[in-house]
Amino acid sequence: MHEYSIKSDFGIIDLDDIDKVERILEKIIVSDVNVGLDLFSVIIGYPGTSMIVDRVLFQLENFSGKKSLILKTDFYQNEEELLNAVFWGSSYFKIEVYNVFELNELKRIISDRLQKANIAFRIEVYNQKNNLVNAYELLQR
Amino acid sequence: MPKFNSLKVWPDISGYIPAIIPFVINDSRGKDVNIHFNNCAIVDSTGINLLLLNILNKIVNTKNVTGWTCKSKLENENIEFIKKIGFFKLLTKLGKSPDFFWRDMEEIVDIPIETIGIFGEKRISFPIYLLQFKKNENRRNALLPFKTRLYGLLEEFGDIYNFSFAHFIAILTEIAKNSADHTDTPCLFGLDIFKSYSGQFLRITFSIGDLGIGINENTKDHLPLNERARYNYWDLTQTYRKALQTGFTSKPNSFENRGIGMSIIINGAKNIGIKLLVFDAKSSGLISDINVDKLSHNEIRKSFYFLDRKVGFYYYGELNLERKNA
Repeated sequence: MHEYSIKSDFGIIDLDDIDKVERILEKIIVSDVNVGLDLFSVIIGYPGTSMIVDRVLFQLENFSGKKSLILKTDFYQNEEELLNAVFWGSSYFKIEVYNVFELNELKRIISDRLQKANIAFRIEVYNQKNNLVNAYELLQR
Repeated sequence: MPKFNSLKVWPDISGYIPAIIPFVINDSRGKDVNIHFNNCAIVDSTGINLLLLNILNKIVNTKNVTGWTCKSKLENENIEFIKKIGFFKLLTKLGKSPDFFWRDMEEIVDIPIETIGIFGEKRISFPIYLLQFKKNENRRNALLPFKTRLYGLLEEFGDIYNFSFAHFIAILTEIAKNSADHTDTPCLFGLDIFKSYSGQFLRITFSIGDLGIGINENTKDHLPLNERARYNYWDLTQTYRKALQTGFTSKPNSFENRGIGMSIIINGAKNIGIKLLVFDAKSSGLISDINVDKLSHNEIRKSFYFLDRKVGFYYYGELNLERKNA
Protein backbone atom coordinates (compact mmCIF):
# COMPACT_ATOMS: atom_id res chain seq x y z
CA MET A 1 0.00 0.00 0.00
CA HIS A 2 1.17 3.51 -0.75
CA GLU A 3 0.17 5.96 1.98
CA TYR A 4 0.14 9.72 1.48
CA SER A 5 0.30 11.97 4.51
CA ILE A 6 -1.36 15.21 3.55
CA LYS A 7 0.45 17.11 6.28
CA SER A 8 3.92 15.55 6.12
CA ASP A 9 4.15 14.88 2.40
CA PHE A 10 2.42 18.00 1.11
CA GLY A 11 2.52 20.50 3.97
CA ILE A 12 -1.23 21.02 4.01
CA ILE A 13 -2.80 21.68 7.41
CA ASP A 14 -6.13 23.10 6.32
CA LEU A 15 -8.26 21.55 3.59
CA ASP A 16 -10.38 24.70 3.49
CA ASP A 17 -7.40 26.35 1.85
CA ILE A 18 -8.49 25.55 -1.69
CA ASP A 19 -5.60 27.36 -3.37
CA LYS A 20 -3.08 25.17 -1.58
CA VAL A 21 -5.10 22.03 -2.19
CA GLU A 22 -5.24 22.81 -5.92
CA ARG A 23 -1.49 23.27 -6.00
CA ILE A 24 -0.74 19.84 -4.50
CA LEU A 25 -3.30 17.81 -6.45
CA GLU A 26 -0.92 17.24 -9.36
CA LYS A 27 1.65 15.87 -6.94
CA ILE A 28 -0.60 13.00 -5.89
CA ILE A 29 0.46 10.29 -8.28
CA VAL A 30 -1.16 6.94 -7.59
CA SER A 31 1.13 4.04 -8.44
CA ASP A 32 -0.38 1.29 -6.31
CA VAL A 33 -3.84 -0.27 -6.35
CA ASN A 34 -4.02 0.08 -2.57
CA VAL A 35 -3.81 3.64 -1.36
CA GLY A 36 -3.89 5.20 2.10
CA LEU A 37 -4.69 8.85 2.80
CA ASP A 38 -3.51 10.09 6.17
CA LEU A 39 -5.41 13.22 7.23
CA PHE A 40 -4.16 13.29 10.83
CA SER A 41 -3.74 16.79 12.26
CA VAL A 42 -5.34 18.25 9.16
CA ILE A 43 -8.39 20.50 9.42
CA ILE A 44 -11.10 18.83 7.36
CA GLY A 45 -12.71 21.27 4.96
CA TYR A 46 -15.01 21.10 1.99
CA PRO A 47 -14.63 20.75 -0.90
CA GLY A 48 -10.87 20.50 -0.29
CA THR A 49 -11.15 17.03 1.23
CA SER A 50 -13.28 15.69 -1.60
CA MET A 51 -10.90 17.20 -4.17
CA ILE A 52 -8.08 15.05 -2.79
CA VAL A 53 -10.27 11.95 -2.51
CA ASP A 54 -11.48 12.53 -6.09
CA ARG A 55 -7.92 12.80 -7.35
CA VAL A 56 -7.03 9.41 -5.86
CA LEU A 57 -10.23 7.69 -7.00
CA PHE A 58 -9.99 8.95 -10.60
CA GLN A 59 -6.45 7.62 -10.79
CA LEU A 60 -7.36 4.29 -9.21
CA GLU A 61 -9.85 3.80 -12.03
CA ASN A 62 -6.91 3.51 -14.39
CA PHE A 63 -5.99 0.19 -12.81
CA SER A 64 -7.83 -2.99 -13.56
CA GLY A 65 -9.14 -5.40 -10.93
CA LYS A 66 -9.79 -4.66 -7.28
CA LYS A 67 -8.56 -1.41 -5.81
CA SER A 68 -8.81 0.09 -2.34
CA LEU A 69 -8.58 3.40 -0.54
CA ILE A 70 -8.29 3.85 3.23
CA LEU A 71 -8.73 7.35 4.63
CA LYS A 72 -7.52 7.93 8.20
CA THR A 73 -8.60 10.95 10.19
CA ASP A 74 -8.78 12.28 13.74
CA PHE A 75 -11.84 14.33 12.78
CA TYR A 76 -13.84 12.41 15.38
CA GLN A 77 -17.27 13.29 14.08
CA ASN A 78 -20.48 11.31 13.75
CA GLU A 79 -21.00 9.34 10.56
CA GLU A 80 -23.42 11.68 8.82
CA GLU A 81 -21.38 14.80 9.52
CA LEU A 82 -18.12 13.09 8.66
CA LEU A 83 -19.34 11.75 5.32
CA ASN A 84 -20.87 15.08 4.37
CA ALA A 85 -17.65 16.88 5.27
CA VAL A 86 -15.53 14.42 3.29
CA PHE A 87 -17.71 14.17 0.18
CA TRP A 88 -19.31 17.59 -0.19
CA GLY A 89 -18.44 18.98 -3.59
CA SER A 90 -17.11 15.70 -4.96
CA SER A 91 -17.04 15.61 -8.73
CA TYR A 92 -16.29 11.87 -8.65
CA PHE A 93 -19.56 11.15 -6.84
CA LYS A 94 -21.37 14.14 -8.36
CA ILE A 95 -22.31 15.46 -4.92
CA GLU A 96 -23.26 19.10 -5.15
CA VAL A 97 -21.97 21.45 -2.52
CA TYR A 98 -25.37 22.81 -1.62
CA ASN A 99 -26.97 19.43 -0.93
CA VAL A 100 -27.38 17.85 2.45
CA PHE A 101 -28.18 14.17 2.00
CA GLU A 102 -29.82 11.81 4.41
CA LEU A 103 -27.17 9.38 5.56
CA ASN A 104 -28.58 6.36 3.73
CA GLU A 105 -29.00 8.28 0.49
CA LEU A 106 -25.44 9.59 0.71
CA LYS A 107 -24.06 6.10 1.34
CA ARG A 108 -26.05 4.69 -1.56
CA ILE A 109 -24.67 7.29 -3.97
CA ILE A 110 -21.14 6.58 -2.81
CA SER A 111 -21.38 2.78 -2.84
CA ASP A 112 -23.05 2.67 -6.29
CA ARG A 113 -20.18 4.62 -7.81
CA LEU A 114 -17.50 2.63 -5.99
CA GLN A 115 -19.14 -0.62 -7.06
CA LYS A 116 -18.88 0.35 -10.72
CA ALA A 117 -15.21 1.20 -10.32
CA ASN A 118 -14.48 -1.85 -8.14
CA ILE A 119 -12.86 0.30 -5.45
CA ALA A 120 -13.18 -0.63 -1.78
CA PHE A 121 -13.25 2.47 0.42
CA ARG A 122 -12.85 2.53 4.18
CA ILE A 123 -12.74 5.55 6.49
CA GLU A 124 -11.01 5.05 9.84
CA VAL A 125 -11.65 7.54 12.62
CA TYR A 126 -9.26 7.88 15.54
CA ASN A 127 -9.83 9.72 18.81
CA GLN A 128 -7.40 12.03 20.59
CA LYS A 129 -5.67 9.02 22.16
CA ASN A 130 -4.99 7.64 18.68
CA ASN A 131 -7.38 4.76 19.26
CA LEU A 132 -9.50 3.60 16.35
CA VAL A 133 -13.06 4.47 17.37
CA ASN A 134 -15.00 4.03 14.15
CA ALA A 135 -14.50 2.49 10.76
CA TYR A 136 -16.94 3.07 7.92
CA GLU A 137 -16.89 0.63 5.03
CA LEU A 138 -18.31 2.52 2.07
CA LEU A 139 -17.67 -0.46 -0.10
CA GLN A 140 -16.25 -3.62 1.36
CA ARG A 141 -13.72 -5.82 -0.26
CA MET B 1 -29.60 60.95 39.70
CA PRO B 2 -26.10 60.69 38.14
CA LYS B 3 -25.62 62.14 34.65
CA PHE B 4 -23.85 59.14 33.24
CA ASN B 5 -24.30 55.41 32.95
CA SER B 6 -22.10 53.40 35.23
CA LEU B 7 -21.04 49.88 34.33
CA LYS B 8 -19.41 48.32 37.36
CA VAL B 9 -17.35 45.33 36.35
CA TRP B 10 -17.45 42.36 38.72
CA PRO B 11 -14.24 41.28 40.47
CA ASP B 12 -14.03 38.06 38.49
CA ILE B 13 -13.58 38.58 34.72
CA SER B 14 -12.69 35.02 33.88
CA GLY B 15 -14.39 32.05 32.26
CA TYR B 16 -18.02 32.65 31.34
CA ILE B 17 -18.87 34.89 34.29
CA PRO B 18 -18.75 38.20 32.34
CA ALA B 19 -21.43 36.88 29.98
CA ILE B 20 -23.99 37.23 32.77
CA ILE B 21 -22.97 40.58 34.28
CA PRO B 22 -26.21 42.61 34.10
CA PHE B 23 -25.13 45.90 32.55
CA VAL B 24 -28.01 48.25 32.05
CA ILE B 25 -27.72 51.45 30.05
CA ASN B 26 -30.40 53.97 30.77
CA ASP B 27 -30.90 56.59 28.04
CA SER B 28 -32.08 59.16 30.57
CA ARG B 29 -28.67 59.07 32.26
CA GLY B 30 -26.85 60.87 29.50
CA LYS B 31 -24.56 60.02 26.64
CA ASP B 32 -21.47 58.76 28.43
CA VAL B 33 -20.78 55.33 29.81
CA ASN B 34 -18.30 54.97 32.65
CA ILE B 35 -16.79 51.53 32.96
CA HIS B 36 -15.42 50.85 36.45
CA PHE B 37 -12.64 48.33 36.91
CA ASN B 38 -11.86 49.22 40.53
CA ASN B 39 -12.67 45.81 41.94
CA CYS B 40 -11.29 43.81 39.08
CA ALA B 41 -9.29 40.93 40.61
CA ILE B 42 -9.33 37.86 38.37
CA VAL B 43 -8.88 38.15 34.61
CA ASP B 44 -8.27 35.98 31.58
CA SER B 45 -8.63 36.31 27.81
CA THR B 46 -11.79 34.17 27.69
CA GLY B 47 -13.53 36.32 30.28
CA ILE B 48 -12.35 39.68 28.98
CA ASN B 49 -13.58 38.74 25.52
CA LEU B 50 -17.05 38.04 26.94
CA LEU B 51 -16.92 41.27 28.92
CA LEU B 52 -16.06 43.14 25.75
CA LEU B 53 -18.91 41.52 23.82
CA ASN B 54 -21.32 42.19 26.66
CA ILE B 55 -20.34 45.87 26.86
CA LEU B 56 -20.24 46.34 23.07
CA ASN B 57 -23.72 44.89 22.82
CA LYS B 58 -24.96 47.61 25.14
CA ILE B 59 -22.94 50.49 23.71
CA VAL B 60 -23.46 49.73 20.03
CA ASN B 61 -27.14 48.97 20.42
CA THR B 62 -27.99 52.05 22.45
CA LYS B 63 -28.62 55.04 20.19
CA ASN B 64 -27.99 57.81 22.69
CA VAL B 65 -24.60 56.62 23.87
CA THR B 66 -21.82 58.59 22.25
CA GLY B 67 -18.75 57.60 24.24
CA TRP B 68 -17.25 55.76 27.13
CA THR B 69 -14.56 56.18 29.74
CA CYS B 70 -12.87 53.77 32.13
CA LYS B 71 -11.94 54.09 35.76
CA SER B 72 -9.61 51.96 37.79
CA LYS B 73 -7.21 52.13 40.67
CA LEU B 74 -3.85 52.91 39.15
CA GLU B 75 -2.15 50.13 41.12
CA ASN B 76 -4.43 47.48 39.70
CA GLU B 77 -2.01 45.25 37.78
CA ASN B 78 -4.91 43.53 36.06
CA ILE B 79 -5.55 46.70 34.08
CA GLU B 80 -2.22 46.14 32.34
CA PHE B 81 -3.33 42.64 31.44
CA ILE B 82 -6.67 43.95 30.16
CA LYS B 83 -4.82 46.46 27.97
CA LYS B 84 -2.46 43.85 26.55
CA ILE B 85 -5.27 41.44 25.80
CA GLY B 86 -6.71 44.13 23.50
CA PHE B 87 -9.85 45.12 25.39
CA PHE B 88 -9.42 48.88 25.06
CA LYS B 89 -8.07 48.67 21.54
CA LEU B 90 -11.12 46.73 20.38
CA LEU B 91 -13.57 48.76 22.41
CA THR B 92 -12.18 51.83 20.64
CA LYS B 93 -12.31 50.20 17.24
CA LEU B 94 -15.75 48.65 17.49
CA GLY B 95 -17.57 50.72 20.08
CA LYS B 96 -18.26 54.38 20.03
CA SER B 97 -14.86 55.95 20.31
CA PRO B 98 -13.83 57.84 23.40
CA ASP B 99 -12.21 61.19 22.99
CA PHE B 100 -9.02 60.65 24.89
CA PHE B 101 -5.96 58.47 25.32
CA TRP B 102 -7.40 54.98 24.89
CA ARG B 103 -6.62 55.38 21.22
CA ASP B 104 -2.98 54.73 22.16
CA MET B 105 -3.94 51.13 22.75
CA GLU B 106 -3.89 50.58 19.00
CA GLU B 107 -0.15 50.15 19.33
CA ILE B 108 -0.28 47.14 21.61
CA VAL B 109 1.73 44.23 20.27
CA ASP B 110 -0.35 41.17 19.55
CA ILE B 111 1.56 38.46 21.46
CA PRO B 112 0.46 35.83 24.01
CA ILE B 113 0.77 36.83 27.66
CA GLU B 114 2.31 34.29 30.00
CA THR B 115 1.69 34.40 33.73
CA ILE B 116 2.56 32.06 36.60
CA GLY B 117 -0.05 31.35 39.27
CA ILE B 118 0.57 30.96 43.01
CA PHE B 119 0.81 27.18 42.69
CA GLY B 120 3.32 27.40 39.85
CA GLU B 121 0.78 26.73 37.15
CA LYS B 122 1.36 28.52 33.88
CA ARG B 123 -1.28 30.42 31.96
CA ILE B 124 -0.94 31.52 28.38
CA SER B 125 -3.55 34.08 27.35
CA PHE B 126 -4.04 35.07 23.76
CA PRO B 127 -5.03 38.58 22.77
CA ILE B 128 -8.60 38.80 21.59
CA TYR B 129 -8.86 37.93 17.91
CA LEU B 130 -11.18 40.01 15.77
CA LEU B 131 -12.89 38.34 12.84
CA GLN B 132 -14.53 40.89 10.62
CA PHE B 133 -16.29 39.72 7.49
CA LYS B 134 -16.77 42.21 4.70
CA LYS B 135 -19.81 42.13 2.50
CA ASN B 136 -19.37 40.04 -0.66
CA GLU B 137 -16.06 38.73 0.61
CA ASN B 138 -15.28 35.04 0.39
CA ARG B 139 -15.76 34.23 4.04
CA ARG B 140 -13.78 31.03 3.78
CA ASN B 141 -10.72 33.09 2.88
CA ALA B 142 -11.37 35.45 5.76
CA LEU B 143 -11.19 32.48 8.13
CA LEU B 144 -7.90 31.11 6.83
CA PRO B 145 -5.62 33.45 8.83
CA PHE B 146 -7.67 32.71 11.97
CA LYS B 147 -7.19 28.98 11.50
CA THR B 148 -3.51 29.30 10.64
CA ARG B 149 -2.96 31.33 13.79
CA LEU B 150 -4.79 28.80 15.95
CA TYR B 151 -2.85 25.99 14.36
CA GLY B 152 0.43 27.70 15.21
CA LEU B 153 -0.68 28.21 18.79
CA LEU B 154 -2.02 24.75 19.45
CA GLU B 155 0.07 22.36 17.39
CA GLU B 156 2.76 21.90 20.05
CA PHE B 157 0.14 20.72 22.55
CA GLY B 158 -1.15 18.09 20.13
CA ASP B 159 2.20 16.31 20.38
CA ILE B 160 2.22 16.26 24.18
CA TYR B 161 -1.41 15.91 25.22
CA ASN B 162 -4.34 13.76 24.12
CA PHE B 163 -5.58 16.53 21.95
CA SER B 164 -7.09 16.44 18.45
CA PHE B 165 -6.16 20.06 17.89
CA ALA B 166 -7.10 20.04 14.19
CA HIS B 167 -10.60 18.89 15.08
CA PHE B 168 -10.74 21.47 17.87
CA ILE B 169 -9.89 24.17 15.32
CA ALA B 170 -12.48 22.77 12.88
CA ILE B 171 -15.17 23.17 15.56
CA LEU B 172 -14.12 26.73 16.36
CA THR B 173 -14.15 27.48 12.65
CA GLU B 174 -17.65 26.06 12.30
CA ILE B 175 -18.80 28.38 15.11
CA ALA B 176 -17.15 31.32 13.35
CA LYS B 177 -18.75 30.29 10.04
CA ASN B 178 -22.14 30.29 11.71
CA SER B 179 -21.44 33.77 12.92
CA ALA B 180 -20.30 34.89 9.47
CA ASP B 181 -23.41 33.44 7.90
CA HIS B 182 -25.92 35.01 10.19
CA THR B 183 -24.62 38.45 10.95
CA ASP B 184 -22.38 41.15 9.53
CA THR B 185 -21.27 42.17 12.99
CA PRO B 186 -17.71 41.48 14.13
CA CYS B 187 -16.90 38.16 15.76
CA LEU B 188 -14.51 38.11 18.73
CA PHE B 189 -12.48 35.24 20.10
CA GLY B 190 -10.56 34.80 23.35
CA LEU B 191 -8.45 31.83 24.45
CA ASP B 192 -6.48 30.74 27.51
CA ILE B 193 -4.31 27.71 28.12
CA PHE B 194 -3.65 26.63 31.70
CA LYS B 195 -0.82 24.21 32.29
CA SER B 196 -0.46 22.46 35.65
CA TYR B 197 2.83 22.84 37.51
CA SER B 198 3.81 19.24 36.77
CA GLY B 199 2.79 19.63 33.14
CA GLN B 200 0.55 16.58 33.47
CA PHE B 201 -2.68 18.47 32.84
CA LEU B 202 -3.76 21.14 30.41
CA ARG B 203 -6.96 23.12 30.45
CA ILE B 204 -8.11 25.22 27.51
CA THR B 205 -10.89 27.75 27.78
CA PHE B 206 -12.26 29.92 25.02
CA SER B 207 -15.11 32.27 24.23
CA ILE B 208 -16.44 33.36 20.89
CA GLY B 209 -19.36 35.58 20.06
CA ASP B 210 -20.75 38.34 17.93
CA LEU B 211 -23.13 41.27 18.21
CA GLY B 212 -25.85 39.62 16.15
CA ILE B 213 -29.30 38.51 17.20
CA GLY B 214 -28.33 34.91 17.93
CA ILE B 215 -29.65 31.52 16.88
CA ASN B 216 -33.01 31.91 18.61
CA GLU B 217 -34.06 35.05 16.71
CA ASN B 218 -32.40 33.93 13.48
CA THR B 219 -34.27 30.65 13.47
CA LYS B 220 -37.57 32.39 14.07
CA ASP B 221 -36.85 34.79 11.22
CA HIS B 222 -36.30 31.94 8.76
CA LEU B 223 -39.11 29.59 9.59
CA PRO B 224 -41.16 28.19 6.73
CA LEU B 225 -44.38 30.10 6.13
CA ASN B 226 -46.57 27.42 7.66
CA GLU B 227 -44.68 27.60 10.94
CA ARG B 228 -44.48 31.37 11.31
CA ALA B 229 -47.96 31.57 12.78
CA ARG B 230 -46.63 29.80 15.83
CA TYR B 231 -43.73 32.25 16.20
CA ASN B 232 -45.05 33.92 19.30
CA TYR B 233 -45.58 30.65 21.09
CA TRP B 234 -42.09 29.29 20.58
CA ASP B 235 -39.56 29.36 23.35
CA LEU B 236 -35.84 28.97 22.91
CA THR B 237 -36.00 25.20 23.36
CA GLN B 238 -38.21 24.92 20.32
CA THR B 239 -36.08 27.19 18.14
CA TYR B 240 -32.94 25.20 19.00
CA ARG B 241 -34.78 22.00 18.20
CA LYS B 242 -35.47 23.47 14.78
CA ALA B 243 -31.96 24.84 14.31
CA LEU B 244 -30.42 21.46 15.11
CA GLN B 245 -32.41 19.55 12.53
CA THR B 246 -30.25 18.42 9.64
CA GLY B 247 -31.12 20.37 6.56
CA PHE B 248 -32.57 23.38 8.34
CA THR B 249 -30.65 26.51 7.54
CA SER B 250 -31.41 30.14 8.03
CA LYS B 251 -28.96 30.93 5.22
CA PRO B 252 -29.88 28.60 2.35
CA ASN B 253 -27.50 30.13 -0.19
CA SER B 254 -24.46 30.11 2.00
CA PHE B 255 -21.53 28.02 0.91
CA GLU B 256 -20.40 27.47 4.45
CA ASN B 257 -23.67 26.45 6.01
CA ARG B 258 -25.89 23.74 4.74
CA GLY B 259 -27.94 23.01 7.80
CA ILE B 260 -25.46 20.67 9.39
CA GLY B 261 -23.17 23.20 11.04
CA MET B 262 -24.80 23.02 14.46
CA SER B 263 -24.59 19.21 14.49
CA ILE B 264 -20.91 19.39 13.61
CA ILE B 265 -20.36 21.82 16.48
CA ILE B 266 -22.35 19.88 19.07
CA ASN B 267 -21.30 16.35 18.18
CA GLY B 268 -17.72 17.41 17.58
CA ALA B 269 -17.56 19.12 20.97
CA LYS B 270 -19.02 16.05 22.62
CA ASN B 271 -16.65 13.67 20.86
CA ILE B 272 -13.46 15.47 21.78
CA GLY B 273 -14.57 16.42 25.27
CA ILE B 274 -15.33 20.13 25.01
CA LYS B 275 -17.84 21.39 27.53
CA LEU B 276 -19.65 23.91 25.36
CA LEU B 277 -22.08 26.50 26.62
CA VAL B 278 -24.13 28.84 24.49
CA PHE B 279 -25.60 32.11 25.75
CA ASP B 280 -28.54 33.22 23.65
CA ALA B 281 -31.66 35.34 24.19
CA LYS B 282 -32.45 34.97 27.91
CA SER B 283 -30.90 31.57 28.39
CA SER B 284 -27.73 29.58 28.61
CA GLY B 285 -27.47 26.01 27.38
CA LEU B 286 -24.90 23.29 27.86
CA ILE B 287 -25.22 22.27 24.23
CA SER B 288 -22.44 19.69 24.27
CA ASP B 289 -24.83 17.63 26.43
CA ILE B 290 -27.59 17.59 23.82
CA ASN B 291 -28.17 14.33 21.99
CA VAL B 292 -28.64 15.57 18.43
CA ASP B 293 -30.02 12.20 17.35
CA LYS B 294 -32.85 12.47 19.90
CA LEU B 295 -34.16 15.95 19.33
CA SER B 296 -37.09 15.99 21.70
CA HIS B 297 -38.26 19.11 23.49
CA ASN B 298 -37.36 17.48 26.80
CA GLU B 299 -33.90 16.50 25.63
CA ILE B 300 -33.05 20.08 24.75
CA ARG B 301 -34.82 21.70 27.67
CA LYS B 302 -32.83 19.80 30.26
CA SER B 303 -29.65 21.40 28.92
CA PHE B 304 -30.90 25.00 29.07
CA TYR B 305 -31.13 27.42 31.96
CA PHE B 306 -33.20 30.56 32.21
CA LEU B 307 -31.18 33.70 33.01
CA ASP B 308 -34.06 36.15 33.21
CA ARG B 309 -32.56 38.80 30.92
CA LYS B 310 -31.13 39.11 27.45
CA VAL B 311 -27.49 38.08 27.45
CA GLY B 312 -26.36 38.53 23.83
CA PHE B 313 -25.00 35.63 21.80
CA TYR B 314 -21.79 33.93 22.87
CA TYR B 315 -20.19 30.53 23.15
CA TYR B 316 -17.99 29.50 26.05
CA GLY B 317 -16.00 26.28 25.97
CA GLU B 318 -13.53 24.40 28.11
CA LEU B 319 -11.47 21.33 27.50
CA ASN B 320 -9.41 19.37 30.04
CA LEU B 321 -6.53 17.34 28.70
CA GLU B 322 -3.99 14.91 30.09
CA ARG B 323 -0.46 14.27 28.93
CA LYS B 324 0.00 11.32 26.59
CA ASN B 325 1.54 8.23 28.15
CA ALA B 326 5.26 8.10 27.56
